[in-house]
Amino acid sequence: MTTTGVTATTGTTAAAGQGPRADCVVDTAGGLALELTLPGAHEPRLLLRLRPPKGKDPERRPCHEVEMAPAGDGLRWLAVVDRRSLALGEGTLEEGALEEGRWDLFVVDGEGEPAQVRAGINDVRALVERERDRSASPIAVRIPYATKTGHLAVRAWLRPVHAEAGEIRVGDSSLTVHATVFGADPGPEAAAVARLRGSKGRERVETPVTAEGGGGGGGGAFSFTLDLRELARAPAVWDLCVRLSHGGSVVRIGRLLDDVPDKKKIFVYPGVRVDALEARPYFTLDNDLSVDVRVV
Amino acid sequence: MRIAFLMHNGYGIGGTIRTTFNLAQALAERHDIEIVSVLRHRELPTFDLDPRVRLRHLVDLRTESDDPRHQLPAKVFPAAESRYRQYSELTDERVAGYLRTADADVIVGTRPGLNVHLALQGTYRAVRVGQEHLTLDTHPKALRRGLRRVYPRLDALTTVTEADAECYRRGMRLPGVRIEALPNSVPEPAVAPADGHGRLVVAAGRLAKVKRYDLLIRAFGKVAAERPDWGLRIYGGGEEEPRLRRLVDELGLYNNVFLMGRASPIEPEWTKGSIAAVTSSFEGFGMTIVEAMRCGLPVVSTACPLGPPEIIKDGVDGRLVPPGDPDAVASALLELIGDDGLRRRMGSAAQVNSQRFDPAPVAERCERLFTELVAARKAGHGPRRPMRGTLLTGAYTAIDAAAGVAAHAGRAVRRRGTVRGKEAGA
Repeated sequence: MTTTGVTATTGTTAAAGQGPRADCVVDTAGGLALELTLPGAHEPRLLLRLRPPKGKDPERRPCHEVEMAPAGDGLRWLAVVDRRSLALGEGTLEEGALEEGRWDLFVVDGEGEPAQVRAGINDVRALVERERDRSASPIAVRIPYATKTGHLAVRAWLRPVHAEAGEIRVGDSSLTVHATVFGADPGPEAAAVARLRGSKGRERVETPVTAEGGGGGGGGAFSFTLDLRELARAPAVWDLCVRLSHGGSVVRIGRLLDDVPDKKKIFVYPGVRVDALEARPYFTLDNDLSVDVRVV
Repeated sequence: MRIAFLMHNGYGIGGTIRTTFNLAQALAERHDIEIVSVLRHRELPTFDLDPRVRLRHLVDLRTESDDPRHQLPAKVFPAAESRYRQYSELTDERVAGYLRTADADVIVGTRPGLNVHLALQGTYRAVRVGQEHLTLDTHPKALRRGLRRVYPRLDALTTVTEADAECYRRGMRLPGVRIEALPNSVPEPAVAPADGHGRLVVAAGRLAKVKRYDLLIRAFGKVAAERPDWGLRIYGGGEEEPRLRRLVDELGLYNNVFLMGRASPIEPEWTKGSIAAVTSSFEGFGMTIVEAMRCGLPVVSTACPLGPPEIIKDGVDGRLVPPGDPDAVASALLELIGDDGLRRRMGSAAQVNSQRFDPAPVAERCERLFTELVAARKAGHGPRRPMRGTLLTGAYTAIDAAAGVAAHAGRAVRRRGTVRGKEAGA
């Protein structure tokens, strides 16, 4: 049995070095299999709690509970976090999904305080080049990772449509981005949109996209080249998106479909100098693609 | 046997600590093992330790770092040793006291300075084994001179490679001291081995000059030109990072070459790739080579001194290429990238061949050596008697103290920061 709800508990965080340790393996379908050593446990359950985003009500913490099964040696317990174990009920869009954010993991047993799970071996190799059904919607992504404090957390994304950034090329004064749309097909009038952050979408720079791959772009792949001089007029951040058709919805471009939970410091690109400014593509804390313009 | 390992700091992080723990745990299957840590700076050791292995300390920095004797320069621990600044009159006294009363059958020193203590102060009751986790050639000249004077009093000296053992045999002339190679050990990884499908080349280590990651990045430029579907991930942190980042940008390799930062544990990262790469100009042993092989990866490595040629069998479980040659690295990588069968065969061979570095067989070699040394001692063979050593002690101490006092002056103030830092490894 699985329960899901919103808890008002802010929760206690066990210091790293305390608490149960989990080894985690991700399967090719994106499910998480966890194995924990829990001496003396009776009916342990795995609790996943969404870490409150900055500025959001910390009291509202969506959570999921997942049953655990004994491994048979009286010490180890197994839990599976996938669509089935998290099913909310039939027919909901979010069926079996974790909403976007960082989920902390705890073990609860009886009336005891939840104990935060420490990270052991985290085997996410299945995510490195995972084959995905491009037509599936929503796109649900879960990357388990070890936090700075040594705890196991799950980074989750849930988007009806997603544009995955592939190769990124920085030219003398331009930026070329290759991307693939999941959950929809870009139409013939699709365009790349750079939105000035903080302008509520009013300030934008649009560029046509070129369909890539065989079948006239039927594979959802496209590319576009932005003139960075158009963005580098004042210090600002520009968020990169794609509009799928004329007047259609705008989809954020990001990089979610691999094993790296935090892209910002790993996928790093050179900047382009425009007078006294420098424009540099980067991945945000949510792994979305933006261009940072700053004074050098 | 009762076996004691004398370590710098068993509570810290580092290769020597890890490999000593591995060995101690494997020996604990059949023997009584104790780890004596000269320094202690935290409650629990950083690495997990089998409860059958006892761990104790001689100086607790949490309560004793202000002891006046800890402000005075060490006289026994040699001044030319890289850890000299962390040693003092207090450590001199405690280590001497421990060695005077130790009732182990075998005492093992794990770094040059502690081997000096052991050689000079170890009693005739215990077999004295010095371990060299670095290499003779990388020690400063003054240290080598000092070691040559006192090492004749050891029963045995172990190095991590056969090549370094040969350096000691030829360069030091230590009559009556058994010199043997005892490699570092790497336990079986807790993850399933790589299956050879991943299109990643993986490297891991400190981002230091000696690792020559600049060479690897240049080589990968040639690889990416032919196989843009492959990537290179370099794990680790260090002072070379900004330079390497610039090189990646200059060569336009930012879609293929990634500086991943530190990762621990590293095993799951190896298994995301299907080839490992090492391009160092020097490797005292080559721990990451063994780690990668145990995860089922063939390793393309420079045939640099000292370790790689003793670990990799060229063309069987990896490739050895001339040091400093990016073209050779690139063609060896491309050969493995372009031939799935070859890559997988070599990966499987690497997994099998690296089992000789498992703690169990390494501990067996160690056990055999110690058993023979104990038997030789009982039969009346062994190193020179303490008489001669006493004379040496005096002479050595005098020379050393003269060199050391100057070096120590003014450093006592900084000591607290030094020993409490993260680098408190052995």
